[in-house]
Amino acid sequence: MQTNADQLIEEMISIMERSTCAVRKFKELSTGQLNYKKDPEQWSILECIEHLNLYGDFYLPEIEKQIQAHKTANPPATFKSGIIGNYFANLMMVKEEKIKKMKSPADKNPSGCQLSVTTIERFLKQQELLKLLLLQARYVDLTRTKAAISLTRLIKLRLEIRFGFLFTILKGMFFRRKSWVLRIITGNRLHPFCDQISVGININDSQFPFLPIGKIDYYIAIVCSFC
Amino acid sequence: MTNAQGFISKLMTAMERAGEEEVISKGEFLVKEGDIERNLYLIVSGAVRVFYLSEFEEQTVRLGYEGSLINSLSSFIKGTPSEFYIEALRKTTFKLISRDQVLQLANEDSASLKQYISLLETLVTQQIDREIDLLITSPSERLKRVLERSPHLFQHIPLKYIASYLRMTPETLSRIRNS
Repeated sequence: MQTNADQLIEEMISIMERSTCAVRKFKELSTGQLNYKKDPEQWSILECIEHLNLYGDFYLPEIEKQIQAHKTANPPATFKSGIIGNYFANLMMVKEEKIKKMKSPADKNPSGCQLSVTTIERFLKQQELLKLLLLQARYVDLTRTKAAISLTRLIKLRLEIRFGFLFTILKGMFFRRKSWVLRIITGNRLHPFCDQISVGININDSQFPFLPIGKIDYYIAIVCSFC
Repeated sequence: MTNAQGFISKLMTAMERAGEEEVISKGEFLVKEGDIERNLYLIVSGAVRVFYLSEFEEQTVRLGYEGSLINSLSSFIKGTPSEFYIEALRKTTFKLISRDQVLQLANEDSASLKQYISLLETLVTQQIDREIDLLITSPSERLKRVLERSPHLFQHIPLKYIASYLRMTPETLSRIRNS
């Protein structure tokens, strides 16, 4: 079980490193390219990244809190279910807030020029923090067997929840016809944990006007880092 | 005229003489995180903000408008990569002077050097004032202190950036302004 957790963490870190690398490359694109939309219904690259940032705003403090909690000697016995309950509750809350947030700038400003290269920087910082947290999670694993077990379960649970969440996002995107994000997320070269939602979309699709096909991998990696 | 102001007017004269005005439009950056700051800027018109980007937000740490001297100070002094961004809040015209030129002015004679030291001292005390700002719990007290230093802030800077500077939500800021 501990090995599983270790492997999982290793894997997530390596995926994150790839995505960090990938997003750095976006900085080379011009503001026009970063804000480009094929039609107003679609999201620009920056809007997609900002979308992930908004989730990071919620997830990262949450993950940090849980890792910190597991470092204390005696976590209360009822703690676990409490977290999970809260987690679900918060999940719904964030979802609503999120949709509101994304909607209003898109309505007010279809060209999306409110977002700048700092959106990318913020994403990269979130990635760094997530990496740090994952490293800490591994440390907790190795040093406290007891914590390790519950942490493993937590991570698995988190993943499941995240997938549940991802489905929600997917659904939302589907309804709003954010098709290219959908394609990225459901691309056929997905993280193994994503298999259940993989639908084998053709990644050579010409939805990505500026990016050679190889870079689709980057897109997938970005999203996977949040899976 | 205090010594510090003496050096500021020297800087301004040097900039007026030397530099052509440069213009950046809203949303463009004078400095980005990771850049090395080699200049000091004088805002001729428009407005800028200096902000620190964390994982979760852009925290405004300084605001500049017509007549302000501004830059990413620690990078300017130490030659290390800037921790901050400087962004134009609207179309902004500015002049600049390089670090070398500033040091040259400071080292012209002993009077200039004294003035330069005095300017640095002023900056240190301003920084402490700012630190106290952030320690004060009451939002209205924080606003009061800032308005004492910069009475015309609201004429130059959009409310949401002032709110960020004061570490409060725009809603809180407009509430305490109206009460």
